[in-house]
Amino acid sequence: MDKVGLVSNIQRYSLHDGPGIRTTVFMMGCPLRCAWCSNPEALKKEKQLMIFDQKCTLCEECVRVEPEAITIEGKLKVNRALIHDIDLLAQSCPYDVFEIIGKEMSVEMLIEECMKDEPFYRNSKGGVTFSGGDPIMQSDFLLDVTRRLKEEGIHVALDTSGGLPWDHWKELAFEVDLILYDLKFHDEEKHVQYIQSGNAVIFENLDHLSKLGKELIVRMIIVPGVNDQLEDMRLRCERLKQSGANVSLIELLPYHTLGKGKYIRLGLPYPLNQRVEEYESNVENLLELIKSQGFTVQTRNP
Amino acid sequence: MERNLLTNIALNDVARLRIHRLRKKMLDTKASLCSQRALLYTESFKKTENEPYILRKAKAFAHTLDHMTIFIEADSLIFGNMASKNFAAPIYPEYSMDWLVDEIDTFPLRKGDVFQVEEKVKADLFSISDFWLGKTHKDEVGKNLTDEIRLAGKTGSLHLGGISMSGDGHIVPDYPTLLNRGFRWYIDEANKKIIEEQTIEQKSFYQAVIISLEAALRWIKRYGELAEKLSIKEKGKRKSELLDMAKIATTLMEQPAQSFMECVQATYLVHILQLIESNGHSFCFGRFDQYANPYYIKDVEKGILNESTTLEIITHFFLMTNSTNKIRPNGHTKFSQGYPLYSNLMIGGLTPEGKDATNALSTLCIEAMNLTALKEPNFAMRYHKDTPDDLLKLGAKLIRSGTGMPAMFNDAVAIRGLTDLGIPIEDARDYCAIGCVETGVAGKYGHRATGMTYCNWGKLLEMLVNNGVDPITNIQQFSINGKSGKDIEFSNYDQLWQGWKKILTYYTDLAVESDAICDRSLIKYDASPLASCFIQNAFELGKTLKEGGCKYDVISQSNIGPSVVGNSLYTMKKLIFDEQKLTLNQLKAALSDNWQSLESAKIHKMIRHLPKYGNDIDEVDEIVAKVFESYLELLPMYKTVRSGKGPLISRYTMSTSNITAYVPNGLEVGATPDGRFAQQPLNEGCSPTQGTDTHGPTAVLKSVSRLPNHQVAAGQLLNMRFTPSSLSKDEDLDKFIDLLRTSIELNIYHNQFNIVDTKTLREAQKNPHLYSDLIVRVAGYCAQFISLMPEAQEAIISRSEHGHG
Repeated sequence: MDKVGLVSNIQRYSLHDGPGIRTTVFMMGCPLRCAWCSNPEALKKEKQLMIFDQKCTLCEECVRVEPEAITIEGKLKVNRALIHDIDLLAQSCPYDVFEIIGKEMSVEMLIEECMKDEPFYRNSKGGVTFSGGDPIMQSDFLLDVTRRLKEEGIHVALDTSGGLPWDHWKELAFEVDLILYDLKFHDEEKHVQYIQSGNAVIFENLDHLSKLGKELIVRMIIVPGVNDQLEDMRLRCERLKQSGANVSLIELLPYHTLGKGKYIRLGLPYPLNQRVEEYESNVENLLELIKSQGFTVQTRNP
Repeated sequence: MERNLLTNIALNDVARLRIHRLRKKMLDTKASLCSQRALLYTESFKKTENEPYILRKAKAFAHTLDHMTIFIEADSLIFGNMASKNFAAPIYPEYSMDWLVDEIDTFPLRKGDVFQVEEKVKADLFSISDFWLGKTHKDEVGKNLTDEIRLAGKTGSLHLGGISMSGDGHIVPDYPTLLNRGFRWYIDEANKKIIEEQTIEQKSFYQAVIISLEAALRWIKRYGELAEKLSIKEKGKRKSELLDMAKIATTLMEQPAQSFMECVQATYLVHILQLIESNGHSFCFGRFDQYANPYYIKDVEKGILNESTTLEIITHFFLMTNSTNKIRPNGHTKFSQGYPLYSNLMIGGLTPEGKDATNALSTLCIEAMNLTALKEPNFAMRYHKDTPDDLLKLGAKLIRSGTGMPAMFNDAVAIRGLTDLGIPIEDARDYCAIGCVETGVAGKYGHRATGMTYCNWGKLLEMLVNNGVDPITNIQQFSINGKSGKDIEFSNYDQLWQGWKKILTYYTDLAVESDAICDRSLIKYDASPLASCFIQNAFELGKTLKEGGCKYDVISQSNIGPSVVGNSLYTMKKLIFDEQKLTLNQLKAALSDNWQSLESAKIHKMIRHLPKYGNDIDEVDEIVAKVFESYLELLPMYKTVRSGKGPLISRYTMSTSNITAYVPNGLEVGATPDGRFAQQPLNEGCSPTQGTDTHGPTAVLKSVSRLPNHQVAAGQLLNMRFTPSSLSKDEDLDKFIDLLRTSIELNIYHNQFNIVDTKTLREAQKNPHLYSDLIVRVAGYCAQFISLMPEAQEAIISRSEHGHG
């Protein structure tokens, strides 16, 4: 049987996920839990329910299918733990208060979607980028997709955190043309504090990627007061150099809170408690430091 | 705010400051009315009671040029004014007068396109209104309209465009030839032709040409005298500039243009003269960078000009085009918001021989447009596969700066469209915009407005599901099943489709008849000897354009809402026939309660989740394409009133340039099967319905590529909005150019862009006084955002915004 992938979103005309005009495919599931994650709907490799309660007209159609989970007394109240079937629930609402994130797609379906912008890739030297979540969580599925795309001559990039052991995704890494890689901390303690796991595997994978000789764009989200210390950045750069990875560019992405609304709609708390707005941005110093380490570096707006 | 240069052309502070002052003046001047033309035309018409109409018009034109107030704008290098004040609209009583009297007190109170009216102007207009009773173009049209067309107007199916009460405009004079000849040449030739054996009509035509052009030459000399007088009080540079003007004016157009300055000055004055001669809009400049280039090269060789001085001249010329204005009735102004005159000026593209036509002036025009960044001229750029990247990049930078210009025309599609109509390839390659997105061949096309009659396809669709009954007025002009009343059943999709074709044919027939009624009346009332003699072959034939003087007579109508129709037909195909989830009556019940009840909301949900045009989904895009084809199939059957009377080619084609009509047309249409709510705008041009394209700009382009674009040979309008951040870096600009290059491959006819985010537009609504320089793309033209009525502002905000990280 054809493999099936779980996709949270497909974004065409993506300009900032690799060279040229690209289609970015957001895959579901992620091995990390970054406190500043802006795509919380893609953390788990399972369908997610988003609730847009501002659209609710109190019609009570949902109460009929989920009487235990939902009450409407002047206001929509949902006890997520008691929902039996999120698909039925989403179908029941005429106003689309309930939205399912996560679409099952066959290799064929995804290829078809990715090939739609082929003329744009060709004219702009663009292609397809797998992102997420972290696409390596579905590396088996993506391996098939990537091989097919390569047959069609499409440039493929993999936007990954590298948070799974090498064996899980080495074949995929081998197939793609470009890796977008993220280093959040050099300091392991802080990594555990903010990402809920250690970073050893991430640096090990960096060494593997280096051996493959793959082109890497290292993209780092800079969260003021959290991971913008110069010393930690210096160590990250040194570790990069030590790995011998083929880094063509380092991009610094400013932290943003545009994803906050999604947490509310998913019924999740926003994990980054500290008010990062209060910190003076350290970006200028970071840029200089990275340059002095011999890398090409640029910043990018969210 | 002063604008930064895009290129590294040097412009000194004095020049910059002066441009800034002139620009600010154009931005801040309030629109008003001027009664001079109306009074002078009336005075003259009273004295010419029994003469041929064309001579009456020529004499009134001459009388006006001899007596109107003239002035030279402080700071400006270019002279010429169409009314007694900057941005004042003259009145054209011979076209229509009654609405002015009826609506005059409402002009200052309008929601958009406000005009100030002085008491004296009001009194002037009242004093002449009786004279024109029953004597205007509008009266003539009114007399001839059939009851059927009137009924179609009542339901909102057809809307008589402004041309039923104004002139036609939409014309590009043969600038290269007229600059090379001067007016005197035409006068001398006309004098010879009069002596030769000619019909009475031809004799009147040549006589009218002589009267008009002699007056134009006298008028130009008046500016010379004025410049000389003004120079006395000035000193230094300004004094010598005014003396130069005085010198130029004594011989300008008495002979061929002698310099680049004379070329620009004459171009601008011909524009103003046309605007005074006849009502209507879209008097365009054509391929300015092409015909002005020889003068530029010569002057550079002579050492008279350099890049900087040339840039200053072009910039002043562009600024001055913003001093012109016209007023339309309240009912029409809804359709064309933002004081537009649509004076298109085009750069780039191919030469008639098929080579890249880019030259130094192409670049200078982009820079001038960047410095002015006002709504006129309506700036457009042609591009093709060999257009240099540098020029595209400069164009993209101007687009990025947020002016909404240039609009981009893809040569491959536009040229193919014209050759398919039978136009020889050399002429087709010389096409230009002749309105907003309408295209034609400069100097060879007669007036060719789109939208003499507007046909509201949203309304047709609404009547389709109601057996020809308009659910709002209950008028039934036409029955699909032969019975009266709203009840109708379609047993399969093909029957529904045949129903659409029937209703479309019925109303298109009516629209063509309505066009002809306007056109026949314009033969008399829009007889314009000056405009005519600058179009091939009118001067040789001794015929005005409306009599059949032009070489190519290709016209089009404005049809509004193809995407709404296509999406709606797809919805019905899918839900009623293919999947049988719904009956037509259930759908009709939901439409009539505007999706409000719970049952209707459930139906609306089903529809929301269906594919929509604009998302690169074959099955629905194909139906929209079929909707286009259903109209295109009808066109070979129609003739214009000039067929067989002079033009080498005379026929209808299609255009989707519908200005802001999609907003008021939407107001007349109830909920539609595509899920659109009652009174919401229809879609604009061939763009997807607002907010239904959710897959980004590449998907939109792919969907549009499935339409028969080259057959929409009078211009296929596509409007897209990008966020400023999607273009902020130079590498983003490269990707934007790649997007344009891919558009060539995808057969996209035309592309125009708004680069402004929703937040800015909302801010501008709240604080209009801070955003007087916010120019947006409306539909084939640009306007000051704050001058639009709220509904049109909302329609622009609801266009899908493209661009993300």
